[in-house]
Amino acid sequence: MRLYLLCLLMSVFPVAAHAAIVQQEMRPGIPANAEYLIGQRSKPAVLLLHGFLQTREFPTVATLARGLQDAGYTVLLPTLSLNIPNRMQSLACEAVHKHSMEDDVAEIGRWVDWLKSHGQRSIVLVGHSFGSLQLLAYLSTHPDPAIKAYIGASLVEAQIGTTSRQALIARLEAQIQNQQRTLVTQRLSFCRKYTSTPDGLLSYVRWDQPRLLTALKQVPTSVQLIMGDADGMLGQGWLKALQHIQVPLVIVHGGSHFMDGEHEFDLLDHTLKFLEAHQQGSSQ
Amino acid sequence: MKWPDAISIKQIALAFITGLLVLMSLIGGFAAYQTREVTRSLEQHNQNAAASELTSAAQRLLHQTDDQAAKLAGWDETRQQLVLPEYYSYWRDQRVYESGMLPSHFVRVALYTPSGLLLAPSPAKNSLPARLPSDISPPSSWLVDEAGTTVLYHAFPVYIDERHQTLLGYGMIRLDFMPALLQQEVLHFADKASVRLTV
Repeated sequence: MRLYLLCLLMSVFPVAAHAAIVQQEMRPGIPANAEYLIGQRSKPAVLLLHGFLQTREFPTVATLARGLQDAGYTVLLPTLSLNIPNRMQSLACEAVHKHSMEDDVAEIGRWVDWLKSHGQRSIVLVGHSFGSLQLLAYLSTHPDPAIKAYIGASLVEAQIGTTSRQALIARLEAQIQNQQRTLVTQRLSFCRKYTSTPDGLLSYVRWDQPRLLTALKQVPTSVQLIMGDADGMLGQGWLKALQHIQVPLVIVHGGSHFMDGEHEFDLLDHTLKFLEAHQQGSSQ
Repeated sequence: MKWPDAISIKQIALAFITGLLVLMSLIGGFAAYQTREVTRSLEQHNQNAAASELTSAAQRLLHQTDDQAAKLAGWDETRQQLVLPEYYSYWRDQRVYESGMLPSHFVRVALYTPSGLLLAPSPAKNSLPARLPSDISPPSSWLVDEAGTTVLYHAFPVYIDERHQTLLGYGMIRLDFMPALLQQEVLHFADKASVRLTV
């Protein structure tokens, strides 16, 4: 019996030793947490970011993280705080959104720094959906030689429905100028009633398709996009626009926005293929 | 054998009728006694059932309030208010009800700093105490009579982490106890109009 328990302990210990929850204080009183899955030192570390208002437990990123760890990659899977202390739940659209793209970018930077402080000199950023956009926003303002590549899955711009973006930006800018802090309700991404501060909303609304395409063209590292052709979240012509700028793009046939079902394997396969090719290219 | 001439058939009939009446009265009296006993027993039973269902309803209400407090304490948006309270009034007056965390009838909520001070003044209607009572140690519940209205208060701590290492502040639920108790659709025996609670 004792031998059996010892064997059980021995088999469980390595798994537990290779996964940890880490925490950092992003702003005063706002700690954020991440799951750290330790892989092989010879392979780059992957910073994997969830989609809009989700957490690191969202199935698309959680499954991808396990697959990457099984393949030997170190994975850091943060949950953006969205200015909520120790956020653990996906945030409702109607909640008070007191966060901005700048806050998200700053948090990504903190996690990149954390990886570097833990000896990771080769980092690959992988995002899903809005997380891909946030990583791109980070890359466009924080070029870092430690970041070797970027993979964006189901990359989308900040969608605002039928509202005129120019008019909305002008209105929000006027509110900010007049120091109006009244909460604004606006369609954003999948939220029909996204309730936010004017400056927070503006920071996201500015990320339209042209800005995103410009950022993609200027990314100072290797890029790979993985998109599903059955993604109902994408705006009309978005895939064509991506193809037009000749960004490396893999299209998953039948893949939805969340790459669920059988397509989660496609997402993992394409991610691994790119990582391996990139690693081989780097070593050569 | 011959019947005595003195006892007429009339007298016999009278005696028979009298006997019958006495018997009927006895039976009637017994029946009335039995009916009264049954009625009394039924009343007693109903009273016990009413008391029992009121006790259950009160316990259910207390459990419900406990659950609501636990959900609020673990809610990301509650923690947010205690760190960034700029839109606290929106959260307190709108968000908690629209999200389904609390029912919109009879219940109000407020948040308190770790030192027990109200985060922001509550609306005059259904206002909550400006300070947590010093003699309570959350989580705890108590009943108060406020100008003839029985109010249940339930105070609960809000921690930043699941391990309950860092206290962010407190929450307090205020419940109009009697209307909330009587609106439950489980009261079949209790006469709602006659239910009183003395605090």
